[in-house]
This record gives sequence, C-alpha cells and structure tokens, in this order.
Amino acid sequence: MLWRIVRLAIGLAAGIALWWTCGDVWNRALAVMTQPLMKLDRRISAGDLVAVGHTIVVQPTRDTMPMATIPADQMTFNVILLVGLFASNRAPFSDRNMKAFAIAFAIVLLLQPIGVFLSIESTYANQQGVWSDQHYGDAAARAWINAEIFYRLIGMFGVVFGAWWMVAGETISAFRPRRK
Amino acid sequence: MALSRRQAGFLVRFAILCVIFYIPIAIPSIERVTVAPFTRGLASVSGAILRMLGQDVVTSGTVIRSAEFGVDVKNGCNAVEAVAFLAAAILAFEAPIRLRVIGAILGSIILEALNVIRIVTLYLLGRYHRDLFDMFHLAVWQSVMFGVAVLIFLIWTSRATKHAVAHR
Repeated sequence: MLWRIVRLAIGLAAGIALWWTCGDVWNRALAVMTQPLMKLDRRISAGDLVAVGHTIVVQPTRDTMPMATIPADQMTFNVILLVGLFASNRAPFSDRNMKAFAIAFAIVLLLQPIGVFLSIESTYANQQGVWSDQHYGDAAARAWINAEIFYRLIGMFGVVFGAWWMVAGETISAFRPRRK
Repeated sequence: MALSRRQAGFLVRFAILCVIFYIPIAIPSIERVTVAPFTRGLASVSGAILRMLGQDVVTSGTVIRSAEFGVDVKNGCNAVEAVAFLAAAILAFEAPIRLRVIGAILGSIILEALNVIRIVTLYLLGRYHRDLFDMFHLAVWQSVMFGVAVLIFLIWTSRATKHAVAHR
C-alpha cells in the first residue's frame, strides 16, 4: 500500500503539471466541443464560445443575451485525479494500464463539455440580473445552480472514479473473479 | 476489460448515494442546520491551530482572518463533498453493514482531519505565498482530498474483503 501511495503522489504531481501546462490549449478545444450544446437551449443559443486564457467567454452574436465569462479551468482539473489514480495502479506503464488510462481519459474529456454547459446555464440563470429573471423561472434557476454545484463538488470526481473503476476495477483485489 | 455485474452494480449504487448525500448541501433549510454549523466548527478548530502556530488570527463564523490575510471556509472547502464521495463508495460496496458504517465513519474523520491541515496550509500559503494560493486552493488540495478518499476506500475494501473471507 505504501508504494501505491507513493505512485499516487507522483501521479497527482504529474497531473497538476499536465493540467497547468496544457490548460489553455485544452480550453480552446473545450470551447469548440461545448459549442454544439449551446443549441440545446434557445435562450443562450446565440452565444459563441471563445477561449481566453483559463476562461471561456460567451460572446453574444445577437442582442438577445448578455456576455458571460466561465472559469473553464475549474471544470477540467479532474484530470489530475485521473492521472493520479492510474499512476497508483500496479505497473502503471504496462500496456494494459496505458490502454485503460486512454479509455478513461477519453471518457472524462468527453464529459467535460457537459460540465462547462452546466456552468454556462447556471451563470445565465442566476448571475445576469434582470435578464436571468426574465428568461428563467425560480425552479429552473435553482435546478441549474444545483446541477452545476453537484458537478463541481462531487460529479466531476465521481466521473473520474467511475471511469477508473470501470476500466481498472478488475485489477483491484475486491473485484477479481471469485475462485470456486 | 468488460464490466462485471458486481462492478456495474457498485457504480450504480455509488452514483445514487452521491446524489442522496448531496441533498444536505443542495437544500438551504437542511444546509443551515447541518452543514453550516459543521463548517463554522471547522473554521474554529482551524483558527485555534493557526493561533497555536503563532498566527494572529480571529475566527468569525466561517471566516478566519488577520490583518494580512483571510479565508472564508465555504462548501467545497469543508470536505463535505469528499466525505459524501467516500461514504457513497464504502456504503455501495458489498460488505457487512457493520463494516461499512465503521469504514464510512472512520474514513470521514480522517478526511476531515486532513481538511483542517488543508485550511491551515491554505491560510499560510495565502499569507506568505499569495501567488501559489489559487493553484493550491483550486487544483492541488481538491485533488489530494479525493485521492486520499480513494486510497482510504482501497485500504478499506482490502480489509473488508479479507474479513469477509475469514468469516465465510
């Protein structure tokens, strides 16, 4: 277990380095991947997503909605935990672990645009003053902010844990097939 | 790499329990009488430790401050989310209920103790290395908290499995 802890610590450090150095590039990709989701809600469908440093700016293309800035880096740092968990596995550089990591990494990255979309909806439902009141009811505003907070507090890490568990869970003794 | 039925069942139970444990944070009337007093207590303990370390801080509600710097312990900084995550994972696991309850309680105590260290170090970072505060506040400590939660879960599962085999 001690070695697992050491590997986890090294993995977390590597994850932080990855997140810190690739953050801006990833934000640009995230803005592109989140853009199609904006069409799901007519209230914000006129927004163009532009990555600016660690943030994604929602720029209105028509005069129907205000501008907003989303701290996108706060929706992506779950990759740190993902790298840490896979580094903590026995033989972290084995083909098997690397393949499992690639699958889990893809799952986590593909779910991040949903997190950004939740944050955009929550921002427009709750932080745009009169515009929010005019376009979102109380229940909708509460639902969006709860969805965002749930994702940011638990969901984004739950997704990482679930992805790691799905592809690497069989390496954990408790889930190895029982011998008859 | 196929998902076994036990793994899938575990993940479904884990997801449902995560949502259930989120309720005390989500509903303001419940949050006010459960999470909020706990967070104030956490701030008091952290403030007391900082004073023991020679810091001239005062605690007011969830705020710990001095003339130089201050932190406000909010949801997301009180480790309730990491505790919910760990409790959901342990309670979702197939093991005797007594072991699950003991594991969830002990694991939560460890996480909250670690969280006091987080608050104390974040205050000290904010005061002496302001440039590092945001990175540690956002990414480093939050990842460490969940990393430790997973470690506690793995240690607990290995013990719970051994215990189950020994008593079969």
